[in-house]
Amino acid sequence: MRDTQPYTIAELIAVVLARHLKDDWLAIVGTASYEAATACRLAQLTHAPNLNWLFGGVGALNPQLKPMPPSSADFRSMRGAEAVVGIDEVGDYELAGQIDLFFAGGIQIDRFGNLNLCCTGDYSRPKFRGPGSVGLPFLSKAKNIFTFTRAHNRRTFVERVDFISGVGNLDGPGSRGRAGLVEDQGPRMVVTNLAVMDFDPKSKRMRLKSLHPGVSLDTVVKNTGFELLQPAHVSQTPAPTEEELQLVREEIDTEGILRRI
Amino acid sequence: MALKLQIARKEKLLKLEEAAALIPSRSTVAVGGLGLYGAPMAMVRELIRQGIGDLSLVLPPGSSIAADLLIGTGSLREVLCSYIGFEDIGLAPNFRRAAESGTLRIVDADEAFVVCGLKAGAARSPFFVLPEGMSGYETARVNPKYFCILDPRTGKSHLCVPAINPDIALIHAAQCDTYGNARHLGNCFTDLLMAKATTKRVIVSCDELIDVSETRKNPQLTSIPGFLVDAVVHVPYGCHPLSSPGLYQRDDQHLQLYLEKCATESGLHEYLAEFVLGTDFAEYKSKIGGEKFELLSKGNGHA
Repeated sequence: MRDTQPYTIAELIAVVLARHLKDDWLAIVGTASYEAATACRLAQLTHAPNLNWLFGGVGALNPQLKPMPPSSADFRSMRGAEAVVGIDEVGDYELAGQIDLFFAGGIQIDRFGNLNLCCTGDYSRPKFRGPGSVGLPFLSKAKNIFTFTRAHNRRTFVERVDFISGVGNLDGPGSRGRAGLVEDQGPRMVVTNLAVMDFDPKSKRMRLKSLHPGVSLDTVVKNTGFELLQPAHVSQTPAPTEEELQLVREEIDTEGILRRI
Repeated sequence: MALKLQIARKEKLLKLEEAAALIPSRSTVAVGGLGLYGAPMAMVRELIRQGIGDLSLVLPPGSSIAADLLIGTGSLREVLCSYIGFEDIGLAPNFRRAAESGTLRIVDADEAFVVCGLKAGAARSPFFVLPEGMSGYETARVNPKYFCILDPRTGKSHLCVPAINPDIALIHAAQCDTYGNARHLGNCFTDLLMAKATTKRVIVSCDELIDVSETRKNPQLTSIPGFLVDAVVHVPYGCHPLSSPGLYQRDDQHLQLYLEKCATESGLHEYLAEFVLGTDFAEYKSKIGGEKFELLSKGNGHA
């Protein structure tokens, strides 16, 4: 039962993301990405002390997040950081392909991991106008992309995004190369309120990896607007350990943003 | 023989009303800050009050109420934008309504377009060449200003962003002296790039007016050099309801009120009537109240 679990969905997403961060990576976190920011700090405190990460808007390198600020553009995001770099400087690192990992999200995510933050429907007369593509075009130069969302439903998980704000695996095998992108870079993982997905290296399609505790396969299938590849054995996402939860609550998100959202 | 004394240096201090009057209708205006932080809101409201219309807006990688309010007045010719929204608080109501009803001319850009376009603009270079591999995304397809060139040495095609050169830049800094040397107490975002790329007038509003002797004590803190700046306006709490980094937090309660009001066209007009049109900055501040400002400044000493 969801209600009796000792952690929130946002905390679970943060912990899952943290476990997949590599020690020698340079990662970048965008605006209002509480789960991703928590994940970076948690990874530094557990298995990846050499991870470097930049907190979007304000350009803070390795901030301490105690507490988590309301936005990455908030000046309090600088607290305990090792450097503050300008927006144009962050852009240089992104264009130069120096970022190992981008955290990303979207109003639509498709089976090839393409992301949309612009609009749904026809671009010239949108049904729904989103905020805009912001930094997602830099995904073209990303070595690895982790996508996360608390909205795993058929409106978000669609067969094909209406607008490609940020590239994933485009149309499948070979299409990244044809578009001038590095073929084997791009989306690696999608973490939602229901499950963890990865990408099948051959077909480049999104594939179920594990179901969160208490979530059925049927629920995930019903809430995904395309055919999700399924491995022979679907495992369960390991719940946050006591130590992970304690670190999140006592050393990172001390004001409990991940418990509220 | 006594040395000839230096003649007086020109001070740039103007009243809010005088500074806004420097902006002609039909200008291309860059508005600084980022998202819910550091946008020159007192200037934006004054611009609306004076009915300066038919503007083409150049926005930073992220903008919120500064863009949304101007869009709400229906007086813009065009908006160059990468993200208009209220981050964790919500979507931009007037932007959405205008975009979905097709009443606003939107030049859909993104962070790469805005930042690289301003970089080119700052150097008065005609365009910025993006590196190999910046491709596959659709703002490059729908935005007609993006274009491709071939590198004559390698024969490779590169996506390019044209220079962005606004006529006017409206920027807010926490501190500034009367000669225009400005200090950001947080990240300067794209404010310096905007000031450099602007061709006619750069107007800086500030919360605190500092003496040039203060500037000289720590010249490394100056984020925008005075020679770029044409006018300085002293408006304490000039970012409200947004945050001025290092001085005060954003006023989430007021931002919520704004979003609720602007959910409808008539609500937007009520908001404009109460907080923008029939009022001035002094009256606006008394409507928000001194207690609120004290609360927003609490625990927010310089970063």
